Amino acid sequence: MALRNPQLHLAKISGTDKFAKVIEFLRRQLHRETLFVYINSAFSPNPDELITDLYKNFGFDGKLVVNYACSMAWG
Amino acid sequence: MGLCSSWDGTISYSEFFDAARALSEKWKLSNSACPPWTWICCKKPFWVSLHEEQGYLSLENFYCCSISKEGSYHDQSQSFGEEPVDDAALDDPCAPEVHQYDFHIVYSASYRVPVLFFRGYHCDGQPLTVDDIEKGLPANALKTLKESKWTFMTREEHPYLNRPWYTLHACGTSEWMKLMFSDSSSTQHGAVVEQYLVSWLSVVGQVVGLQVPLEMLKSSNLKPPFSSD
Repeated sequence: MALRNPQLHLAKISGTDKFAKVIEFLRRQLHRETLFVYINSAFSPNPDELITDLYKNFGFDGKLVVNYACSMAWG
Repeated sequence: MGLCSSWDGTISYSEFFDAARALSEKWKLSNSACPPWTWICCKKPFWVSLHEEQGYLSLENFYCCSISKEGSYHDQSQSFGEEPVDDAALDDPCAPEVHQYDFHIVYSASYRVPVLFFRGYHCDGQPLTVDDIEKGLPANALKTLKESKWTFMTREEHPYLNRPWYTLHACGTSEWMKLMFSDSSSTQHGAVVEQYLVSWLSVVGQVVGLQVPLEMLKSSNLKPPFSSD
């Protein structure tokens, strides 16, 4: 599966990898310690979820759309 | 109201009530092995509130194994369980790594969002201290706690039980809730309310080790955002 973002390099990830790998990838690319990562404008996946499960359940049109925001404040 | 740009990510008390029922039903269907979320009715003294009835969602007796033991994501970036292992404890069926948690989801009238209150025990019934809870936190949550000590997780009075419980701060909740639903194609506010607490729990649960099953997150009402290419 390819990770695509207009501002980022293309990278590949295996379906057997955990979502944590995507978060780590985004963190490194964006040089951000904290990122808020969510899917399909509906939820934030647990980092332990497998890419393949997320893709199977929430993939659409051959893609799994992952959104992120660079800030995440609790209080 | 719909998902117009003016929606600020907050919900009313009656929407919270509906969202609570939706969460509870979905949880029962796809997570039957776990204790259920039950609605607890509370009658406040008449001089406190004009509302005849209030309540909150409660999930109690949730057993949480030490996350770091399973070698999962949480301990990859940070090792925080470095205290020497007592060999005797390994044979103990009631090993200290198993903690029992009670979670309550309470509606905050000030922020108009749900707030998580929780407390934990050792298996012998001793309440967990802040240190114990910190040890069980996923690495991400631990980092957030270190960075923002007073604006993330603190101990406060439970609004209904009037005892000190741990709570996650709610000031930022409406912001990230708004963000999560911002490019949803759903225009039905009812669908958003239906999904609201499930989505909220997908974020908050990660802090305390409560995982929301994927089946629960699959909502027929919320379609993926429109594909850009």
